[in-house]
Amino acid sequence: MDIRKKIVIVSIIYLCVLLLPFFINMQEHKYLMDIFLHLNLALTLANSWNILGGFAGQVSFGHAGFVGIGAYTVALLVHYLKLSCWTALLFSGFFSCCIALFLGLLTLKLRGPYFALATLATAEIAKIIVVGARSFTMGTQGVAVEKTPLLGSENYLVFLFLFALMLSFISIISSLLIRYSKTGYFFIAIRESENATMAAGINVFKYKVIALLISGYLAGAYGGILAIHTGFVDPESAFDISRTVEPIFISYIGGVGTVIGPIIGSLLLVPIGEVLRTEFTTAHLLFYGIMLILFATFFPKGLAGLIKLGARKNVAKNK
Amino acid sequence: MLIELILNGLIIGCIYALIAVGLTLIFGVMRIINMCHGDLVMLGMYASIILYEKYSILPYFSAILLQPFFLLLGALIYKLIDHIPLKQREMNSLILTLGVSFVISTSVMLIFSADYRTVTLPFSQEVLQLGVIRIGYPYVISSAFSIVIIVLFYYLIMRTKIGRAIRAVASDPETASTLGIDIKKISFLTYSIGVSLASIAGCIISPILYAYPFVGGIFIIKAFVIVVLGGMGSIHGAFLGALLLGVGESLIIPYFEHSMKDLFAFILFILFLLFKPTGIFGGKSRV
Amino acid sequence: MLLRINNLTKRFGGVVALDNLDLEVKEGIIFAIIGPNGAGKTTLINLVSGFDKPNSGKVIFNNKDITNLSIQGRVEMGLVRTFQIPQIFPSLTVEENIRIPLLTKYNRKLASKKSLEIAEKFFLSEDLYKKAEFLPVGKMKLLEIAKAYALEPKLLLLDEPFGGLSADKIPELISLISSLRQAGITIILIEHVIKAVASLADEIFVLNFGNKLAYGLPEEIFNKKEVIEAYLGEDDA
Repeated sequence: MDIRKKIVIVSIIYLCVLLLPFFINMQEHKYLMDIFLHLNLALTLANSWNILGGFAGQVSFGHAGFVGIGAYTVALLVHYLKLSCWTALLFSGFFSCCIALFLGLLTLKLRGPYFALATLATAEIAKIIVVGARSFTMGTQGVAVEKTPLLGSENYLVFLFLFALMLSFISIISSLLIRYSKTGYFFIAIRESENATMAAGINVFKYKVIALLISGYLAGAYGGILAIHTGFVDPESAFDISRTVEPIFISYIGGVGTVIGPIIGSLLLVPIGEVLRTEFTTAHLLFYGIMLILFATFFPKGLAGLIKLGARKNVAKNK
Repeated sequence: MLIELILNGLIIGCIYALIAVGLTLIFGVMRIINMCHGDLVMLGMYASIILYEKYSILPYFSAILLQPFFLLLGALIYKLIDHIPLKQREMNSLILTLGVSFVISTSVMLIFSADYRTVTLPFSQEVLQLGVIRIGYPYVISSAFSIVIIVLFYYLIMRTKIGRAIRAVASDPETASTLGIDIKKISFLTYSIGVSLASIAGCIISPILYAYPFVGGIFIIKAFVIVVLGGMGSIHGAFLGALLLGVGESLIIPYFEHSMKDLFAFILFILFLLFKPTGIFGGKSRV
Repeated sequence: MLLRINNLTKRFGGVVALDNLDLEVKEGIIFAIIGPNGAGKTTLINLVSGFDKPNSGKVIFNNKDITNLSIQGRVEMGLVRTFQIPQIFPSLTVEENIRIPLLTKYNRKLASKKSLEIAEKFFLSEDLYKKAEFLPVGKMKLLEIAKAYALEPKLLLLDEPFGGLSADKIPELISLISSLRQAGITIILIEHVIKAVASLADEIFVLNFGNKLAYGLPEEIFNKKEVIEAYLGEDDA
């Protein structure tokens, strides 16, 4: 299928979803809307991880860090500069991007596992600094994020719904555009073989940094929406380790390095995760762990790979 | 007391070394990062705490007693890693061991809750007085224990046939395999040694540090820092890096508040990435 | 002169891989570099292509000092290399493997079209949509050169293109490489397979312990006693 057709299909689906608030009373179905919001956010974060890890092959263990930085950017901007939380939201991805740039300049020239280790360390550093710089960040006490009316309306749930929807739409379209563009081919080339990519005269470092910036932006914006949604950030919740694992988990089970993978993964796993989280609090992490082991070991191409394989077998049978 | 601080740092450094040297050895031989390394340390801590509370077995004996259990667990994880095709191993082993890390830490959390726990030995408060220097007994015993293990480990790696084979595979797998060394066997042995050292470190550190289900994260990050400091894959580098980190952390304690202590490791990490990414002992990075 | 190398030295720790090496490559010829294993041939390619930096000395390409230029900059100037062990994009198709280098110069449509032409030139048309990792060794070697050719080089550095090739495939590759010369590409050929060197080389440079052992026309080189002793005598190819 042509990429233009794919973009049209995605847009139509999103337009249909956009009409949802007109048919469903959001206040009445709050639980459902919560799951839906989380679905969009999880999809965004999975795409963010997948663009960097799945396409460009740079595994990040620090997405919780980018999310936390995004969340604190919104919280502190609202707290100190009295910005409207929606204005602050625009900065969350940007600031997270800046941190990503710094990290990238530091580590992306190196090969091998340094990048993964450095992302892990960055997330920890950010958390330690937030906890430690008590006079500025309120430390473990956390910061309240005051919601402000937008365009004179106080229907926050609708706004959050729209922003989350927009963000996940942007993430899918970015993923599509990247996959089918020159840039995307170069990302994949880097994942496949850095030597061959360099020999082809491609600036490996530049493309790795681009992948990291896109990824950092999406994750930071995720953090911003999260901060507004919960109305409160503290180090434990903002830098929650599950934000590092969840996107990896969704990408791997859906199909890492594909556009469709994170979509399948989040549609399937977010509802399951949500149920597990409410029923058994920490058990969802155990579930993530077991699934990661199974998929990384036995089905490294994820569900997207299995479906493809099944389709091919079917075709072979019909012949 | 400066000398006291340095000595304390060296003691902690010895235990860090047990953790980091396994990580660096596994990286050197298998070219993978064992993300669940810190959780194995944490599991060692919990196991020794339980054995002490239930049966009054001292953690130093548990360190030996628990080996069959840990070796079996290590073998199981190794089997999973070995199942991944070589071409995909670098990335997928990261994800796999991350999964293992989560399974171990959340299982411990579900069983023991997130509370902080430690072992209070009968001599926990007693202090060894050497002139003006005072060191707690648990520190003395743990460091002595870890020095014995380190010496045994060095003997194994430097003086035995197995050790030579391990070093050969780490420095050049192709040549090693043409010399008739069974790479799979050596990988398995290396992984087992790494797991064993991590579990011993966990047991003997339990009277000194608090255990909680996610403490493994701290250990693995520090071990990474040490491994990068020493040069990835370098055994001597890991020892030197561990002592350096231990002493460095100990020296800054009086000047920083406790929550910022761990920042030292990361600042060191970033400085090394900036100026000497191959580490103290690292030469040319392998392409 | 297309390529000039002045006083080039490279050390790895205490080992001197290249020792004050000087050489010059004329435009339009096949310049073969031979020498025993460990003589510094691949190190030389790494330094010329920018994959490694020398301790001292200069690399001059097209009258420009490129000693400190990035790999990318060199490729843009038309200096392209291949690897002894093919460095392919394993899980991409053969066509995509050729298309990626083309994308650095052309838009997507043109790149797709050109990749088909190049595949045909390198006998890869039947395997276009196969994953590169499943190619047999001979075809993988061809793909490695095809990817380099796609970058439209002025100077092509070939690192043992004949290594691991079965005997019946050698004539095919010989004629292919000589057709590249006819198309105006200057080639530095590092090779162990003497038959290939003998039938392709216009000039031969013999490297031994990072130093020049001999340099001249093929018929001169193959008759030199010291060359036969140092190299041909212990040749395993």
